Amino acid sequence: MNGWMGKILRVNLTSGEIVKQPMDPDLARNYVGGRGLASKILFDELELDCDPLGPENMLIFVNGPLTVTGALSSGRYMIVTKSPLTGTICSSNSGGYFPAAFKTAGYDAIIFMGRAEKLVYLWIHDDNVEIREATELKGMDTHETVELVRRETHKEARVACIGPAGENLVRYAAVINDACRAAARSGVGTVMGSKNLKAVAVRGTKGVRVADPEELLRSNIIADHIKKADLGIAFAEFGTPLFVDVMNANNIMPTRNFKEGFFHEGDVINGAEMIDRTLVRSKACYGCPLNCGRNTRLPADAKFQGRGDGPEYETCFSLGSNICVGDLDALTKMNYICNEVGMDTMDAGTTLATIMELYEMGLITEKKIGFPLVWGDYDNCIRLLYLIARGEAFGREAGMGGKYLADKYGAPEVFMGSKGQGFAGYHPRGMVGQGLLYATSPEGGNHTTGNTIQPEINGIPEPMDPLTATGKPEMVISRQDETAFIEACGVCVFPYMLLEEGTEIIAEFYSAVVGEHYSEDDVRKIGERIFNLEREFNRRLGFTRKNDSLPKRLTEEPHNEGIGEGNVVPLEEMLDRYYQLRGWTGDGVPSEEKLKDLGII
Amino acid sequence: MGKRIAFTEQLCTNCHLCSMYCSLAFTKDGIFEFRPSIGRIRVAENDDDTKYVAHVCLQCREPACAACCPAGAITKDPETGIVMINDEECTGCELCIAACEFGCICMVDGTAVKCEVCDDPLCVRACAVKALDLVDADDSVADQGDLYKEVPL
Repeated sequence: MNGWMGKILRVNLTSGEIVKQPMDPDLARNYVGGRGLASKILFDELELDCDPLGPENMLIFVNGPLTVTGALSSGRYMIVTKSPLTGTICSSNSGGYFPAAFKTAGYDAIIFMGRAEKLVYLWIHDDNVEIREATELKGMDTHETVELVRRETHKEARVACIGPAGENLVRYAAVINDACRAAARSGVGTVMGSKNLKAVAVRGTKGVRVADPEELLRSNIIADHIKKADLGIAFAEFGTPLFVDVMNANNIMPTRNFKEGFFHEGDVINGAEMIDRTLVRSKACYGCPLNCGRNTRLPADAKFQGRGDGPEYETCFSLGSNICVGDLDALTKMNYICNEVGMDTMDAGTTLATIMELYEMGLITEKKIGFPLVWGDYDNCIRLLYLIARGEAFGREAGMGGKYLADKYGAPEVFMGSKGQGFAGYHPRGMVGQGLLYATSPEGGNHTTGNTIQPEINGIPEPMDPLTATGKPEMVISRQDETAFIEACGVCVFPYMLLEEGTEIIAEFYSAVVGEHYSEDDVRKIGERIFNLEREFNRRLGFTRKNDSLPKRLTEEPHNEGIGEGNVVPLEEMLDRYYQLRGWTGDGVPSEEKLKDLGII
Repeated sequence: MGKRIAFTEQLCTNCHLCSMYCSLAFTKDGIFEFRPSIGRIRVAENDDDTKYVAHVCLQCREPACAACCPAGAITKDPETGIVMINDEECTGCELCIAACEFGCICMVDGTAVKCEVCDDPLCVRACAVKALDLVDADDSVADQGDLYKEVPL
């Protein structure tokens, strides 16, 4: 098969049994790969109401048919499972070098089931697959783990692993690959920890077949085009932190737990400041002609030390503006810590912001935390991050996440997220379509199931008013469906979502890889199928309209001064139309007719 | 005048597109396959992730690999200056790999392989940041060679 490796690896960690099964071509045709393929496997095989942290949950590592092809930015993989943070289906994706090694070892997916008795890691060298004991890795951070696992396996092995946060079941633990890239969201690292799986190390030497490589070389022309476009120049130069300036300029940079949309110290934590202070050089993920990665190091005169990648924009928001930390050294250090202990910078930040607001309200005391935690106090944030990762003292309950804390301490409205997952760094009061997107995302407040920056803020393909409901349900649906397809292909969403003609390009690349013609409508349809399948998965667990909610801060509290002053998110109005266009009932349930039409049932 | 592939470290982003596209030039039987592990150009990173180095044959004036080959399978073409491996004569002894201090030869399916400079090299075409270039072989190779020793594969 062009694109696919044609093999799925099943690893039962309870029994130690390892099985290789052929890829079903129908499954590949209908659900492609990545998030699509893995969601379908989960939908068909998982006991839906299982405990996400029980041995019966399945943890699926998956790449896509475009991974390690010349298609633009083709170095991604994702992890799909039932989330311990949201209780829904989820997919969390990452770049770096591990995804390419994973695919060229010869597998489209690895399905982990059960739970190992002791801590183990999986070593894959092409056809040789073995489960190895990892008790000596217990408690190690992600950098140490990569080093030790490489020493035991192969110096060129690529490693994805959890840190202490995953071992200690912090509900927003990440799986970190290549020491600095993270499949961070939804607690996929927590599930890995619950299975006593410390790491997956891979060395792959096989090839990926494609139908039309010349067509794929167009990627560089497109990359050039991205770099030459206004946003593109800034993107290559500043990486994702350039969004700090874009968001601040539009009054949508979430600040002080989403009370505000403008961060006064934005120019201290943006891409330009990083170039001045911490950037070593730009880097790319495997197979990507763009280079938005930031290789950074804290300078000798900084109050903290360390090296690593980033922070990316989302972290500038979550551990910067949203907790009022206007200090690049501290922000960078917190980013490094999260990567080292293996947890999501975004939900770590959401949790800190929730605690800070509860502390301000007097609902959580200094005695409870062990120290004060006011806005911007990065020293104590760092103390708390370590406590969370180790599951010690107040860190134990802080590791349960912002929603848990807000509920427990009597102010559920201060948790800024949806379905238990913290929002990304785009303030919905100033771009209401993003609010609809968060509310209807199958995995809660996530930025990777679609993003509305281009249509709402940059006016691509055509200008629209970010503050009103007009046109938003239509736009959100197409963004969600297109993103689902892109993620199923195993490529990075970024360039495709930046480009006006992104959907056309992904359809052409997909056709060039598999050797059959797919139109834009064809790939949208596949995306719609994936999105509806995820929705139906959640629906069977009782998720309906009542769960497609946003906090009152977004729907009732007026936006702060500046662009969009006084605005709120007209969620219910948008939801009515969104469900109707989706072919779902007024309660947000996919109709039988829709599910049949898409071939889901 | 012979040619070789020149590499500028400062521009490299460690994306490995060069290895991917190089491998495409060596797939057979009308099948197109991205198989970076057989690429004749391979990227190494140093331990603290501050240097990215694409190893590709420098087409040495006096190639150590040719001098040590017991089968006489490696020769420097007097006209083009390109160092060539005759895969029918190669016995797979790997002595050349040990002899090349730049890490520019590797084994593929039991045979030693290296960059023999394609006419319109796919690695150069694929490099989006222009870190690779097809240049005249008499350009100085000392800096590139030092880099290969500093950041080995």
